[in-house]
Amino acid sequence: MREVIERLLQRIPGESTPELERMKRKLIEASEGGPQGIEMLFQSESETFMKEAQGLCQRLLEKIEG
Amino acid sequence: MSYRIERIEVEGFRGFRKRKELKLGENLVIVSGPQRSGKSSLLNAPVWALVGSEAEKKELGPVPIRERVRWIARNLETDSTRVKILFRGSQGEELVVGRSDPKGKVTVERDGREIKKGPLEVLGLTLDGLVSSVFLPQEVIRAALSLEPKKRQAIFIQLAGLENLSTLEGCLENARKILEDKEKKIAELRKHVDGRIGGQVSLQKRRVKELWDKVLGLGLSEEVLSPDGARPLVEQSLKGLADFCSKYGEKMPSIPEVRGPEDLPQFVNEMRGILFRLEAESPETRRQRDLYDRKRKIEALISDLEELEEKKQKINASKEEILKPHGKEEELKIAIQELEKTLEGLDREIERGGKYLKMVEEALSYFETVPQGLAQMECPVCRKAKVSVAHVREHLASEIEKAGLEPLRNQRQEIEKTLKGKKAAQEALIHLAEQEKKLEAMSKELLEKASELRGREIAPNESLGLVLKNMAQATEKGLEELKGILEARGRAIQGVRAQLEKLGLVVELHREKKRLAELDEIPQTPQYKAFIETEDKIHMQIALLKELLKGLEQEKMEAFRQRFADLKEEVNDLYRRLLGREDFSEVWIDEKDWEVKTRAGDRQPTVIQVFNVGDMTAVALALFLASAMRANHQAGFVLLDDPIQSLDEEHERRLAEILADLAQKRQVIVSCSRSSFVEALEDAGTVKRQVIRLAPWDESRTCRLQGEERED
Repeated sequence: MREVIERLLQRIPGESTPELERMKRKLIEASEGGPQGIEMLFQSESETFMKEAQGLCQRLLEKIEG
Repeated sequence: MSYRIERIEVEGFRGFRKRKELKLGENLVIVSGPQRSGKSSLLNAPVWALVGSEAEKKELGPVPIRERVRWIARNLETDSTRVKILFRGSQGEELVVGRSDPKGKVTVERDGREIKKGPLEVLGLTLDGLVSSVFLPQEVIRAALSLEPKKRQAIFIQLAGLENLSTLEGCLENARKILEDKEKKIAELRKHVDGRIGGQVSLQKRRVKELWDKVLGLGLSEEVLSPDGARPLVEQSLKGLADFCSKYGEKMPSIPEVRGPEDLPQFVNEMRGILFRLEAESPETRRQRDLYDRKRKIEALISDLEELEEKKQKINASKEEILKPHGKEEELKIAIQELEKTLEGLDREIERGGKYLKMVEEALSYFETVPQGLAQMECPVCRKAKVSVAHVREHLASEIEKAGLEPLRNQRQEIEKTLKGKKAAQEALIHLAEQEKKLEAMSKELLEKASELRGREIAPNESLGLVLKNMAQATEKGLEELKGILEARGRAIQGVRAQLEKLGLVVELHREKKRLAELDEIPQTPQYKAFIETEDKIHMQIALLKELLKGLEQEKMEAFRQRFADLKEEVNDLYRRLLGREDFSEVWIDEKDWEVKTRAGDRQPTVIQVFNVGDMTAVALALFLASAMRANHQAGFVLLDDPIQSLDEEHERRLAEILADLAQKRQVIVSCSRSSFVEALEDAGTVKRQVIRLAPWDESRTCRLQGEERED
């Protein structure tokens, strides 16, 4: 699975960014756990984003309300 | 090295409730029997021993067997399941794989010794290899006949041994959906934040405008918001305060210096505090407070005095009322003493009369016993000598009548009643005297308080009521005089305050404008930027997933093309053989809609789309069998569960020939319920074969061989 993911990542066009590179590294690590490992990685990432967004939203609302 | 299946042991597995052991000696094993006789159970036993009910990552690698998800291995009437498969290697080695549930224990033994490797690993198999070249379940062929391109694609990819890529695609799709769901939710959060910013900004703009209107309404110009624009207002406020202090003899308080607009809020707050103190803490206000306090106390004393007087009046009236029937208090006392003496005399008389009466009654009772004729005696009443008994009796009876005490007792009762009335009046007077005493004490206390409030003792000849009235009038006058002074002072403070409040309005305007600027700047804050960054990250990951899916699709297609190209010769050959059409020069799968196409015709070859279900079955079989022929793993057996599906007898015969050929290289275990196919398999080729005939399902509720006796 790791080889497949590495091949797929090599196919990605365009310039890379630090965030993209971080994700690529994580993807390669997660591929050791098979497709389910990759799915779990994105699930965990999405939950982190959601928590971050909720926290920021709360802080912004406090700022807005003064 | 290649392994073939030599023995299958099952117990509590699918249709086999009871233990069953089957020896598979030949290269072509035909499992025949009617529906529900246990053919599929038998063919699934080696697969279950190798992979279990569901593929688990840690044992099998990433690919689940799609057809076996939620597949129940256990016989529904047993608590445990056990399957043991004996594989025999080409060099005579023995490999035993056992699996049991519910503990899910798997054992692998080579030549009687347990080894640590997994069963698939020992056979050099991957799950992809298993589903594309070892085990062909009924469901796979049926899926190839599906009208839905997606389902056909999935099954052709599986048959090409690329199931792992399909699984990866599924997981990436799931991940994309999860991220898109969160992306939507995060976008909603930002929309909410943006909405709140917008709402708050417009509210704030309205506030600022209202304040501007007020500021301009006070005759101030926009200049007041410039760095030094408010200085004249500061100076006016300070001057107003200084004038006030000078006029009223107050010390000018120290106020923090205003160096710029940032010092204005503190200046206004300090000034407000000072003005409040000047208003509330002046000697006049303190004097006013004292006078109000004095007024309240005097009013309380007047009220107490009035209450006291009222009570005194009530007591006097009561006294008068009590003494009315008895004269003066002294007369009442004397009358009581006299009545008591009279009562004592009466009591003595009644006592004396009572003794005499008793004596006469005793005498009469004696003479009533004396006979009439013996009357030679003196009469005890009249002292006459020699009287008759009758005379004595008559005189004694008359004496008893005369000595009657009733009138005396009646008189005594009357006197006692009068005495009781007078004593009650006396007691009431005593009670009133006690009350008077208390009132006297209260009056004294009142006098003391009033003296204290006046600051000088009230002389006995002075009227307390009058003194209090004079004090109240004096206090009222004092308050009246202070009112004018305080109003003038209040007006002066109000003047300073009015100046200050202009500045207060400017401060408020400053503050609200600053708040508006803060709100406008929220999108530039690190939190908002972090929010955008989070959104960007999720967009990036979705884009990454889309790219991966796109790449995977290409990868899958390339791999499929490569695989099909590798197997092309075998597939074409098998397809032609299965259909008996030499003119079908080529068969391929069009990746656009995953339709099967063939080129037919000897003279002018034409591309034909394959719709016929028999032909589609032939394509699926050709692909699987080509993979099986090419496979280089160590599983030297092929399991085909009812592969004929919709093939007619002629096609069955051709398939039987192909399988007999394959059995030269690999052990072929094939199940079928149709007798024509069984016969075709029995007749095909020269390879040695074995037929396992299963009995129809009956009340014994366990699969068994035909002719085998029922145990129960």
